[in-house]
Amino acid sequence: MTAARVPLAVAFASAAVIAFQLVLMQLLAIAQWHHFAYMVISMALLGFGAAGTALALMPDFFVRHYHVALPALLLAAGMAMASTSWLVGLAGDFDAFLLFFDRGQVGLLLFYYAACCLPFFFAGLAITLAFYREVTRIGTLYFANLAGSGAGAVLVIGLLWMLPAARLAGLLALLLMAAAWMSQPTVRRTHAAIGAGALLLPLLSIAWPAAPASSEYKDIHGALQLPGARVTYRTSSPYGLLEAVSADSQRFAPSLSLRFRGEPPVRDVLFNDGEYFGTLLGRDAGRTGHILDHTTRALPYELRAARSVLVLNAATGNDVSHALSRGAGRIDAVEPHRQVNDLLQNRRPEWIDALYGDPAVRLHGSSARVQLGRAAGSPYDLVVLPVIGSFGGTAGVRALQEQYHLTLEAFRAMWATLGKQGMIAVTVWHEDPPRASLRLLATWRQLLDEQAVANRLAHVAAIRSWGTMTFLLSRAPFDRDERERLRTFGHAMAFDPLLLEDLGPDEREHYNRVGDRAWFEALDTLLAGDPEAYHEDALLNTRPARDDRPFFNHFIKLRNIPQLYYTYGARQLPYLELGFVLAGATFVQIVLAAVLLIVLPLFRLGWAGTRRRWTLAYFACLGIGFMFFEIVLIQKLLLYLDQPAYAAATVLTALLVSSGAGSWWSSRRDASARVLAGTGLLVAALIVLYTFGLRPVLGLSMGWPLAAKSAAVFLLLAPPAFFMGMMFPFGLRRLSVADARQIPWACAIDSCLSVSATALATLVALDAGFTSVMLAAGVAYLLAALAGPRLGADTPLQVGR
Amino acid sequence: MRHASVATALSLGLLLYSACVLPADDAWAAARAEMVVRQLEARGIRDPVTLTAMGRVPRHEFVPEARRRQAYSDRPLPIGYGQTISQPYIVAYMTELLRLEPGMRVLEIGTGSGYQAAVLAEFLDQVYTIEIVRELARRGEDNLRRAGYEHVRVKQADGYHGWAEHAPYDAIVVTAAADHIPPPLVEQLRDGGRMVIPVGSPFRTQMLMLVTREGDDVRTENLIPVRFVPFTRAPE
Repeated sequence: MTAARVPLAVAFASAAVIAFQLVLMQLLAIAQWHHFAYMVISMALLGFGAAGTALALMPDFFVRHYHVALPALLLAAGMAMASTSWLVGLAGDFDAFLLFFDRGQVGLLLFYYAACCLPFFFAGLAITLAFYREVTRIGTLYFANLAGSGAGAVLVIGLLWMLPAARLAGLLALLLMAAAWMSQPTVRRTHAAIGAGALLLPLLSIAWPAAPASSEYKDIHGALQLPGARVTYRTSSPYGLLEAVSADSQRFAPSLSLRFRGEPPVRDVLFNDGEYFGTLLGRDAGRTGHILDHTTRALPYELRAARSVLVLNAATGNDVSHALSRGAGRIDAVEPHRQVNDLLQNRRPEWIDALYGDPAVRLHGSSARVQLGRAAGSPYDLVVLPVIGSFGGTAGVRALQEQYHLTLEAFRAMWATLGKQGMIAVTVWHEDPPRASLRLLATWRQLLDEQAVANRLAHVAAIRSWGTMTFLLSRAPFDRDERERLRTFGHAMAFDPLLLEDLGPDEREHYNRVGDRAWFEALDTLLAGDPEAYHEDALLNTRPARDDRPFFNHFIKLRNIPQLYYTYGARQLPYLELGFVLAGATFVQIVLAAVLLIVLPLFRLGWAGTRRRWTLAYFACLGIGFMFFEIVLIQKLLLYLDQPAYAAATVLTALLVSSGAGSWWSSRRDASARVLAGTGLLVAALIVLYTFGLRPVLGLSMGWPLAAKSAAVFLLLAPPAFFMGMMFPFGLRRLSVADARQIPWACAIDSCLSVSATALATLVALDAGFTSVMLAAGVAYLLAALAGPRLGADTPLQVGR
Repeated sequence: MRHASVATALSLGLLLYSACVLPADDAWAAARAEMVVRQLEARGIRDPVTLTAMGRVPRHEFVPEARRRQAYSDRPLPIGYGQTISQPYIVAYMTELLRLEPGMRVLEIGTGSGYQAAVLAEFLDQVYTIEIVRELARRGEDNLRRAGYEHVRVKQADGYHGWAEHAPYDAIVVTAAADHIPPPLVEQLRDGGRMVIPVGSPFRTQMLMLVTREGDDVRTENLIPVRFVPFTRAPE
């Protein structure tokens, strides 16, 4: 037990920290936005780097008091974790949306960073101290670190199903307290008293959980301000915090025709993490027909009968209800949010008039792409996609969101499922500057070219209201009758035709004038002209999204930023694509902080000496290589494993546990230059192999059940992860022989570069694609293989035991 | 004695703080005049009625205490409850679009701070404004009374239904956006009447739209892209 207590403590602490990272991510996403959460977490994780730096600056102090410092640091980490939400609450006036508008918010943001950083700093310091003090068994300790982290990733998914995120911080803090006790089980009475007192904080945090103040600019705040508004249902899961809001004046009438004279239905609304998820419309068989009949979304049904319909990302089923009301006899509804599906199908079917219990409707709890893969061979008359954008735009907060249902490959799959008269329908909210509509047209143009469709104009139709436009892509050309029906529908609803084979010059702005005709010209060019020339000249990037770059809402061209800055101004530019700006800001902040944390220890270690640059190069490459590999795999496996939460948990567990096993195995091998370089080269080669070979292999098992797929992923990822796990302990062991004082510094480098790599991977993927990020990971391991032999000195086998 | 000294010192300090931090009335007037010249006339607002009204209404009375120093700056300001007081240029632009004439009856949906209603009330006797958020309605009405616009009628209600009792209106200005244009508002618009509506919500507003009633028909026109926070883009 004595030999195992420190590794066990490290494993518990690692599990708590990685689980807390995901809990904090959800708490901040509920209070603010996902990209803000990502920025804060990235900065907070630098606490690990700061821990290495602190240890490098004061190694003697910590080593001298090791037996007290280790439990004390773990205890402090637990206390900080339990009180993070409360501390963050002190910055109550903070609002991420005011960040570029109110300078006072910057100070509050820094406070946010500091509050969130503390648990990572204390836990990181404890773990790094254990690595440093007990470097002779680094293989075992690193295994405990990685295996604990892997277990934490799985644990938190389970916990998030059982308890709200706000209560989990206290629960996870108890894990750290347990780690503190494990690291020093024989304690004096005073220490026991301190420990018992410290236990109060997590217990209080569980009993009376605090959550960060929520932004008043989130959708749910607007709803709750309506008279009599109240939250009627609330539940949480790894998918987020789901809430239903009821109010007498909450109406559903998105971009309703101005000819409509009835009463729009008053309905409850579901919010996920405070953002609009869907209106609980139900069947809506009102006196004036279905409410969506008075919007542009009715266009496909006006042109052709749709007996079989596929509704992608069905949310609360409004398009399903619409299809039913228009006589569809077979409807496949696809919605990946399984908690919502369970709610609407089993627990509260009455909320949507038992829509999902209708014999004509089949609900599938999977992603659009997985369902499209399964649907091959059963033709649909109509495929309906979720509405793109939102009323008034999205302020670019979704710029970094992968949208695999809007890539060229996705539309190819949709096209393949269409019957001879089948159509794809996409509705887009108006936006300024116009961009989503242009990217959609560019994607359809490429698809039509691939299908060798000569008269492209005949296969596309679109109509426009004051708020939305609905685009149709048809396998068969729209005939004269259908084109006339579009015009008749437009006149009845005061909508204007937008795209039609025989469109007259004055037809586009009869009811709704747009003012800027350049958008019309761009649409025409993309569909019938020279799209390449347009893409070259355009201010924004509206080229088709691909599976390798599935960011449909990312439009900014890096080289055009100065021109965009000139056109839109410094204050407005961030809101054009807030997600991208926050990602860039995150990267800059991390790099600045990382440089500081890496340079600081040199004041103590000294600047002279040739080997330091190899330490820097080796551990920087390991940090970058591992994180690049991990991030791309999570993204790539989203398509395979269907659910983001499962993809992240499976990849993290597979990589961390296998790496841990590699680390443990490394203690049985010499950390010689030859072995190290060979391992690095093998990892680099495996990464290149996986870059091009993984997807085809996974494609063979696409139809397997989730458990079998997870097992397949685990087995496939094990080999590269196993060898990756050997690199870090090899490096530390070589350092321990040459200059042990560099060990904490090496840990700081690895941590800082890991966090920087996370932010960098996102930015690289946006413009160069995931394949480039993956290859960069291979290059990083290649460089590590070259730097490793110059790092420290060879260690005999017994050192590792 | 010691308490008195402390109290005196504190009072003096507060006075000094107020004098240094918050401008006097003539300073507010100067800031307002500068706003009219630099933010409105320079960007093409020409309507003398609008310019006069914007030059008279004490915008600082409609801004939360903590943000008064920014009252005449070229930006919208948060007023709480996720709402904003619009940028001066947008208020002027929307007012100009209504083509105000004596005797017109105007309805505003979304009282907010009360500032837009005050600008309308500088020139018109019949201004009606509706706010759905109870706290904002009360605050907006207080602001209007304090600034001397007693003739503006404020109602806390669901703006969706308009204010049928006083319909039809020559103009309707909507400052709180919904994802649909309420049919009752279209019906309460006089033939030839104009409705100005920002299509979008705070921080995300994308387009200012003009809705014109022509008999039973309704036409819309997208005017300028705006983003109520922190957009400062002039019309193209």
